[in-house]
Amino acid sequence: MNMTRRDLLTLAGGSLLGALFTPVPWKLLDDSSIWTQNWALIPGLPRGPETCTFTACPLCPGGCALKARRVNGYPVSLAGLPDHPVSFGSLCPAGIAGHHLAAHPLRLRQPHVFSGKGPEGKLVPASIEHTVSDIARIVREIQKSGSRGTIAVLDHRPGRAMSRCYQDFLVKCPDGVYIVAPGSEDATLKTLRSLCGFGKGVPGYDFEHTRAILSFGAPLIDGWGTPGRMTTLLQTRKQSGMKLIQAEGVQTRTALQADTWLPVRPGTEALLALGIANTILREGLQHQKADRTIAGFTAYKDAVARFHPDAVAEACGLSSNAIVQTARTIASTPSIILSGSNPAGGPFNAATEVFIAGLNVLLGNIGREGGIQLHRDIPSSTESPLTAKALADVPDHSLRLLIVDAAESGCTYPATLLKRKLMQNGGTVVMMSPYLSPRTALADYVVPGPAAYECLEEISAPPGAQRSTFALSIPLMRRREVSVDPAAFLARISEAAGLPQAKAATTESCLRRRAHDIWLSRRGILAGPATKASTSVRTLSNEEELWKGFLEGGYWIDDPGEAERVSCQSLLGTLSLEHIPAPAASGPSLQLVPFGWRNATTTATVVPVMSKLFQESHLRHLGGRVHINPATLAASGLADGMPVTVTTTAGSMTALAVADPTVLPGIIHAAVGPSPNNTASNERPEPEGLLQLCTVRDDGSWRTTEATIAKA
Amino acid sequence: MRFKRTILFLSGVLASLAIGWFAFPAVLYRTEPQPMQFNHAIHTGEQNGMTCDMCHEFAANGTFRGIPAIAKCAECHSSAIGSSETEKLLVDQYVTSGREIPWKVYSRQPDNAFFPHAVHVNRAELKCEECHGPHGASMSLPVYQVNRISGYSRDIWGRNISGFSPQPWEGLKMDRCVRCHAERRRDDSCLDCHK
Repeated sequence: MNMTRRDLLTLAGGSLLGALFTPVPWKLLDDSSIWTQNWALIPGLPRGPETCTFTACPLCPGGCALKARRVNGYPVSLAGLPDHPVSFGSLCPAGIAGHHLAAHPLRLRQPHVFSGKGPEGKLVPASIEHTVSDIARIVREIQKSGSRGTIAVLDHRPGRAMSRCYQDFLVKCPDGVYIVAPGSEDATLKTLRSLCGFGKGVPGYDFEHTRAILSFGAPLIDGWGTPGRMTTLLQTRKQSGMKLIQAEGVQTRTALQADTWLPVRPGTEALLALGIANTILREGLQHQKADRTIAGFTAYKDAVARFHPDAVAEACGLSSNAIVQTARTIASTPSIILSGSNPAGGPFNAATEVFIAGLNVLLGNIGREGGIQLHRDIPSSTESPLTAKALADVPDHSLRLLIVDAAESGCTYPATLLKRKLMQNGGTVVMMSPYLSPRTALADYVVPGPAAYECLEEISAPPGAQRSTFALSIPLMRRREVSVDPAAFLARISEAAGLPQAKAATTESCLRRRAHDIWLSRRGILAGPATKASTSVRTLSNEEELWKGFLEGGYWIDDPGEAERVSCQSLLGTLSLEHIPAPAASGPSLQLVPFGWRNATTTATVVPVMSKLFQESHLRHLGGRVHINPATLAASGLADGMPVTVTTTAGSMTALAVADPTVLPGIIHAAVGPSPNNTASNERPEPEGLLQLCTVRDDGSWRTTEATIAKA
Repeated sequence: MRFKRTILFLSGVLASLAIGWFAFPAVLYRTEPQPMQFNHAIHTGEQNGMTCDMCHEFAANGTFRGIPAIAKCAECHSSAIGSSETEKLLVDQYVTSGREIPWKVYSRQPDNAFFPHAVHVNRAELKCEECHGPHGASMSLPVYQVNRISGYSRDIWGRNISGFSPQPWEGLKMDRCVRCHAERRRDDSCLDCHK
């Protein structure tokens, strides 16, 4: 039988048809898809014994205690500890996935030098020896040149043992300056320090006993402070009768859950505070001894007389009755009035902060149960060798070498604020960072620090806490060999530059020194990680026992002790009465107001799984978007989803407009958030998007900026 | 020939069917021996009266331990019970040395599938047999066959290459999970099982 080509095609056609009625194609499809899941190069889950480790989250100052489930030593899940005396079991979404950060796509694998300034600058890998040698050369040059520029360290989380290590390094350098980063301190407590004589006392909020909180935009129940503490406060407020009043121009999550939302126009918070002060003084609701104990009370009272609620209500966008009722609510019970720092918007301008904080002084909330109480600082056997400076207080163009700490405060700030402190044509920035985050945009050298849970880290009390606390974030995974211990890095620079050697050459030795100081003080208790059981430090037989307790996840909590007395109080501090604005100052037509969510202001701090919150579910706002009231959008001839150009005196940028009825008219609510798809790691990163458009004032504030929008 | 092309076409169809249904499974699966035989029936039968969870137990933290460790076997078999070759192998090779038996697992799932036995057994009160069939009554272990492509046991797909079986417990693929959840009106999302 002769087979023609057509016969062969007929046979093949039959075979093909027959094959469709067999499991071959369908089974092969199924098996091959499973096969691709099991390629040798695809990382798989570890198999082995299951253990648990008690540790604490190092991602922000909140320092929530948690339990890590580990398989074969590798962390696979994190969970809060409900019985914990400090963090009460809550974890924010960033904290839940914090153990993924070590494998972030933007993780740095070796030190880098940026060649060339500006966006055209490229990343060039460098050795740690080369980096240390370059920095040591700059230190030597500064030593020789005398007054040509200074050396500074910017600390994102002051008050740690590591902060002392930075100070020890700087004190050996000529004119070393220790700087605390914006957002690393609570704005209201910082202002109160300048208004009142706290001595060595550390102020903290007594939320648990307060009956009213007036918050000027602080995201109290959205990742602020220790999330567990704030969540518990919210849950128990029905029993405690506590009232929450939220004053801000956007109906945020906190505003939604507050008892009263005061939709105040951004930029007029000072007027609102003065309007409240006016009501308090007119109705005689102030602290009984206010006229005798508060410096400058009479002058303040006279100046505030102009700010009758009727006079400020229109400018604030509120009714005068709302202002009067708010004043009566906070004056009738122990209360706390605070501004908090917005994670991306930073503090208000200095005058507004003084007016807000001053309400606490006026009502006698300082040192009062349910108000702002003083507690003792964490024990230290030596005094701080340097005084901390705020970044805004550093003279412009004065820094020759700036070393930026790797720790996260959870907040961000405009790169321009940092840039203007550097010497023109010569300022060198060394960033210690595990990731190529937008923060490294200004860096000349990037030194990879350890990622979360890769090394021992200090967890001390967050700003606003009522007692001093101390714990350790216990490592859950092996540290990458390339990552550099910050204390060891400074020790190497000291050695190479010929500076005297530091006492503590590693982070662990810094932490041991702090544990030693706690042991010497014999103060406080060591709380067990998962139970309510605790041991007094006095009963521990030796220092090692305390250290062992810390390594097992124990939390040191200071005794209540004798509170420091407030020596003096004033309502304006160094602020002159001239700073009090005119009562009916009307703001610009459109205001750019940046906002962010703590721990999620850059892509580098958002683990890939968390990006679902921003991209798929839209539960959180993605960077590069501006939320505008639909009426404001329509008035500008724009629509939802339209690309728009936002222009300020600092420049212009394109963003995506989102029609958002929760935003008051006249506000451009600019999301400073992650761009999860922007993870290219071979170019100089851009600073945080819309923050670049904000005008940074002389007092270091950038909360509102006059802006215009137009179709892009 | 008048019907030459029809015959050729049908020959192609028949050849494909034969290869697909008979030769393909033989090539796709490779038989691998278990390290030793195991008689479930002798343990669960009247003589010993053991239940599944006496060996396949839950740990104190609620996680399912799966195949018991050799220490569990040693609780009864510290010395040989009877004189069978299997018993001798168990005691000499594993119990005495404390070495774990490298069993090949018929129901091993991919790493991305999370199956909490505790929820299904304790809360939903499913019987072991509903998923694993009458394994507990077997006199010997079934032949272990591994899929050459995916690397998983043939029992995941089911013994029948078509994927259909009259036995409800045959196969441990996701469609079975979904069907069972739908029958019981259980809400579920991707992240319930795929962590």
